[in-house]
Amino acid sequence: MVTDIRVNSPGWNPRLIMMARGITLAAIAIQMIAPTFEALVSRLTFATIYGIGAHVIAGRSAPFVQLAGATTYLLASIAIYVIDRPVADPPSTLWGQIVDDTRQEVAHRIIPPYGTHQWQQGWASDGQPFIYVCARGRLEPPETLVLTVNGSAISALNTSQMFGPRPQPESVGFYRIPVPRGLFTGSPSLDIQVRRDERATLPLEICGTITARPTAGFESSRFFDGTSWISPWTTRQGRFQIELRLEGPGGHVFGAWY
Amino acid sequence: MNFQNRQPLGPRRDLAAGACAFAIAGIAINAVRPDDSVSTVPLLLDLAVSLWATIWVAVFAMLSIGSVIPGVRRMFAPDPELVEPDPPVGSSGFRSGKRDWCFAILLALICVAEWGTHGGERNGFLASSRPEAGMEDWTAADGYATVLDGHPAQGDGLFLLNLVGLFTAERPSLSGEFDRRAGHVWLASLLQRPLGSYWAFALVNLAGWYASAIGVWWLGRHRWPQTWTGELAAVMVATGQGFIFMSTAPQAHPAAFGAFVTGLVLFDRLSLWSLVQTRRERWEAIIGPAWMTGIAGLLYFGHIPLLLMTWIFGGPRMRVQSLVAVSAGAFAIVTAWQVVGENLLGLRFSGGNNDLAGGAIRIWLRIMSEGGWSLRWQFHAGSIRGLLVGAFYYPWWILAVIGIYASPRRSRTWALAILAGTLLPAIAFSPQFRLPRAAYFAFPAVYLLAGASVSMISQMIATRITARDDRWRTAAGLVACAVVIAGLATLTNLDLAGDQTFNVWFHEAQENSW
Repeated sequence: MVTDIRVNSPGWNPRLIMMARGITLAAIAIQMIAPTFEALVSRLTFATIYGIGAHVIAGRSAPFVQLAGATTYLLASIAIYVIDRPVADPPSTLWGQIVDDTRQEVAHRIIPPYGTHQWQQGWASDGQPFIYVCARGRLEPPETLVLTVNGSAISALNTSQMFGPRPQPESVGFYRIPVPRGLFTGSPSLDIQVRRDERATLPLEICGTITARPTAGFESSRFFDGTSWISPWTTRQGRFQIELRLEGPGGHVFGAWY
Repeated sequence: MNFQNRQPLGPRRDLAAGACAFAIAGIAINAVRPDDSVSTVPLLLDLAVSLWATIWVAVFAMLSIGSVIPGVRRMFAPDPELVEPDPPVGSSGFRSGKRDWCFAILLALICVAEWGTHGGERNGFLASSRPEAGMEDWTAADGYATVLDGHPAQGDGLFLLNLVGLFTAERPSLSGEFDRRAGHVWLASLLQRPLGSYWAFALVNLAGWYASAIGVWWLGRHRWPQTWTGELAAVMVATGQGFIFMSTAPQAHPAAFGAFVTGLVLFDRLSLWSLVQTRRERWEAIIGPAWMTGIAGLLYFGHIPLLLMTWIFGGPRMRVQSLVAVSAGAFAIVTAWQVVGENLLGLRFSGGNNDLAGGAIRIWLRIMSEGGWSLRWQFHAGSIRGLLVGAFYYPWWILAVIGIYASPRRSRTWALAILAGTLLPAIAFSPQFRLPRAAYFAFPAVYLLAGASVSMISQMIATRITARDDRWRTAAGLVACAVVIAGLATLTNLDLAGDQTFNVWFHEAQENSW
């Protein structure tokens, strides 16, 4: 005979337990009021499986624990109908901006975190700064993009700068372009421009992604469409995938910022 | 039933498995032609530990499960549960005293503090996917991330939202990577309206975290009575690497870990392992664990380690019909969702994460068909030692090994069954992905054994350094425990100081480096 001293203890209140079971049943019933067949079926499946499970599991715990659990379940079930908070789609993690005109330009500002331990450690270890630009496909002059930093032309993107995996030739991927350390002396920020090579004839695509930790504010990415500036933060809650990375000799990344 | 007089004394399964592991690992190292995996001492040791651990786990599991056959059972020494009855449930559990309440609140505070300080962009799962961690070369500066309700979150969260929308009746049924883990999403959907998606997933994680800590505390009290093992292990859970790594990530693991521990508690409370039960209690002891195991399977693949543990620990002491009934019930519940999902909702339960287990089996078969060299090379390429150290760093393993000797045989056998049952799937999965987060299901065993060892060591220290009365000894012991626990917690919190090493190892194992 298995002895459960809790069941026989004075704190074991059968009325509270009955109340908890009643509340659980009420919560399951409320869950069943679903506007779509699919929601009804999926909820019914889990409400039944978990409901019985809760009875088996919590049935051995203290009555007030059972009551608290059942009440939480009931309140959550009611909240589905009472609170109007639809499941929000997050901003896209990968999107593209076509550049098909020489007047068009992508601009991005980065404020290097000079004062941080991360930067100072990387800089003191002779870290080499790189600008990473994400673009679609294999770019080779003249069908390529040109990178400018603080007004100085740095490089036209080419295949030797390709970095990271590209499952297909037309996949998106990073271009890793070294920038001189001298650019960082006396310059509080990096103003980066990416334009089409003037000789290019094909449309090119620069990637964009989410933004969570911009160094120069959420509006630091902009696109000039030939007539006006547009911020991807406003249109897509995102930024262009242009980043600064400080790397050690073995490829160790001290930090990545945008 | 007294088996002591009826069964001959024989070797212990754990020791027999250890001897087998030494022999087979030795043959595999010496008899197969040399290659890079034995070219240096660290690599040779890495291979040896990987082989030994894998063979021990496999042989211990086989000998234990094989003990459902009476002939095999008689070959080994009788298990302590067959000789001494289990302590009654509740005799060593919580006592609802002021001290217990204070400790439960303390555990809650530690869990919330760890959860809060490792949330959002500081989440270990997310941080270890950033370029600085050196693990991925395709991720942008934010790592493998998405933005849920304005909060940076681990990227898989994006793929869970369609399922959340299905439960809240906002979206049609769309097949996705995580159809099998819908139980986790259903829990989050209950909180989505009041809290939003990000906090709903985060709170489910916290609930799993706290349930794990409380469950491990109870198990420690029950299986290591009159010691601080339960309390120490519970704090190790509250500051545990696996939970810190997950913290607010929209992932099913913390809920599944919680379900795993709850299952272990339930098995004890329902006296699943006891041979002397009335008919009604036997059914209750079978249906309850089967149901709980099924629930763990709907959260993540928690039913696999729970069932393996049940067979490994139950094999020598339970009737085979009971083991089959528990397994069939658990699989019936997991399959019920798949039948409903496929036929009524049009979900496919295939593709992406749904197919990973089948893929791992195919890889093992291919490796084995290529012969001994290929098989041995796999233990180098997919270092099992690196996998285990990624899940629990050396101090925990060292303490756990000491804990094996510091524990009564009844508790040790139970803990070893958990170790084998949880590590077997993680090792089996390793040719495809090395996932310390799958091996982390072993945390109740590792932390409880480590807790037993800390408890024993602190008692020894207390006895040595003070000859005063018991109160002084208790205080000295507590200080010693606190120092060890603080040291361990410092390691798991190193990421707060900017060091992501442990998160990176937990993400993708330690590889061959020591």
